[in-house]
Amino acid sequence: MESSPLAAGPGSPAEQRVRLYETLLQVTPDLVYMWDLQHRFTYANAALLAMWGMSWDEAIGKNCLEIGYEPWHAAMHDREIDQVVATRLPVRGDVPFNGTNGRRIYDYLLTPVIGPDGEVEAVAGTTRDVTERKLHEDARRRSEERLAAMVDATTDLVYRTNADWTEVDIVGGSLLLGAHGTLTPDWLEVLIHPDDRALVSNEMARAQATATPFKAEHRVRNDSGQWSWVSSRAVPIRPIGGQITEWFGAATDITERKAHEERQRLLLDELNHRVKNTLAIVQSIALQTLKASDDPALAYDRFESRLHVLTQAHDMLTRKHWVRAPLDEIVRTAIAPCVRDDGERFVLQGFPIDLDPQRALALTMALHELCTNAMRYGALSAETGRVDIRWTRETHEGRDCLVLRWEEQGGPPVVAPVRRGFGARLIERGLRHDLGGHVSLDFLPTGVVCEITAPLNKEGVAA
Amino acid sequence: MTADAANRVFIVEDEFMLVMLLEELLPTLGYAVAGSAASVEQALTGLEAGEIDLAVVDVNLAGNESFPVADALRERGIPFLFTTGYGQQGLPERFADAPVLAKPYRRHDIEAALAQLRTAH
Repeated sequence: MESSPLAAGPGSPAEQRVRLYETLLQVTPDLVYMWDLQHRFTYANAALLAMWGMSWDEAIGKNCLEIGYEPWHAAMHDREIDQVVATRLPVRGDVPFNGTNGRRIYDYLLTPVIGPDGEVEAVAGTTRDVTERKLHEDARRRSEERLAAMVDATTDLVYRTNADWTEVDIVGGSLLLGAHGTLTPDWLEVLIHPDDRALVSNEMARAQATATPFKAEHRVRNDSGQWSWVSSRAVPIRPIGGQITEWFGAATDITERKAHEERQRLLLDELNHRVKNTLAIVQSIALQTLKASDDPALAYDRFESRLHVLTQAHDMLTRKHWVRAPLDEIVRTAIAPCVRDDGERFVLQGFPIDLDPQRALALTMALHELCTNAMRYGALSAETGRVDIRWTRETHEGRDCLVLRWEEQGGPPVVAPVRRGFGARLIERGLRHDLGGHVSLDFLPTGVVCEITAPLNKEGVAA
Repeated sequence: MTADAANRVFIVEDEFMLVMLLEELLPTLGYAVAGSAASVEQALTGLEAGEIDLAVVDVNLAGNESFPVADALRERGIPFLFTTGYGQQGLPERFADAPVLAKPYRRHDIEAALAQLRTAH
């Protein structure tokens, strides 16, 4: 027998190729098969037979339905086979199938086999188990959908940058900077407050050098051109063992919080100022009170009583938020320690008017001194004595004025004191100083009369 | 301390109780009170009229800063010190070297501060 490379026979290249194909088809994990034009399997490789759980002899010659495919599945392949034959073009699809490996998802490609006469003589198919890939794709799609939803849901400004922060994209979230998109390369100069630029660029350098999260609180020019405070944090993205490729970050608008902190700080400063001032007032009261008396017990009683009315005035002003206080309440606060159950000793009459806190405090202290004096020497020291406190609005020298008149009646005959004490000085000079008006204090034999005239402005009593 | 020249102190303070405190304290330290003012306006008028050697100026006059008064004092070469319920902060740069007494101050604090003003001048 002549031997030639082209000749047929077990040693020929053509025969070798057949053995190669057969070997590969038997070992491939893919399913390989062929249908004749009557849709009967004429070939099934080992992987397919194993999936069916059938032997060659059991399977070959049967169609899908006879193999045990669900009717809808068999009908689908029948249509596809017809289509491939008619169009001479491949068909591709994916389908779930319950085989011996359980329910898996298969990606299949059906293609015409052209015979020597140029006609389609069969339809061949190859099918791959893509369950893992499909599951992975589903998981990734879900994860991406969730991330996208989070970015949409957040009120933070979400951004990404390249490795060195020269490119910054606003990818979602807050519209603080206007529409989302890529910032211009000069964003640091354009958008970051001049006082915060060094802080931001130092923090970028530090974060890049150490590959740790970027964290900064800074001001940024918002869409309406105002400065907004943001708390910004970004994390580096880098492949394991590789260099940082990009950063992802979020910036929270903390303008409200910053404003609140500033208000708190101002409030604390103001409180500190007020407390220190009040302590200095207490110091002054202590000095005046101690100096005026040789009797420590009496001096202490007076000090205590002055401290008490100062406290009451503070309480009253606090109820009015330290803005302004009605004169009526100021008077009531001042006389409260001297009001007894009978309640008939004072007559209060006047129009509604407010004083600012400092003047309210001064007037409370002054009226308290008048009360104390009246209790000890004046109208309130006698059962029949009474005090009229009336205030009116009058015009003096062309100016709108508040005139408050304290008038004692029914007390013992008044003897003018030899020397002006703390109370009298507080009333005469203190009120003039604080109210900016005129004060007269007269020790008339019928009773003490004090008249306070203070110019008014629209708000209350002007200095 | 003698009651010789350069002992007249002008008080700029909106709180009358504190004016009274200084009016009590200053004579015991050998100073005379040259007058007092409760506002920037009053203080500037007072400066025009009065013969003043030294001044004690409250930083906050009923919510207004007293710096125009301090500027006027400096212009006239009258040494002054600030009193304040706030800390040292809040003073403008130009007054960085001005002495500041924190309220409430003790008798010997104001004594030392005024003596310092006189010698430094």
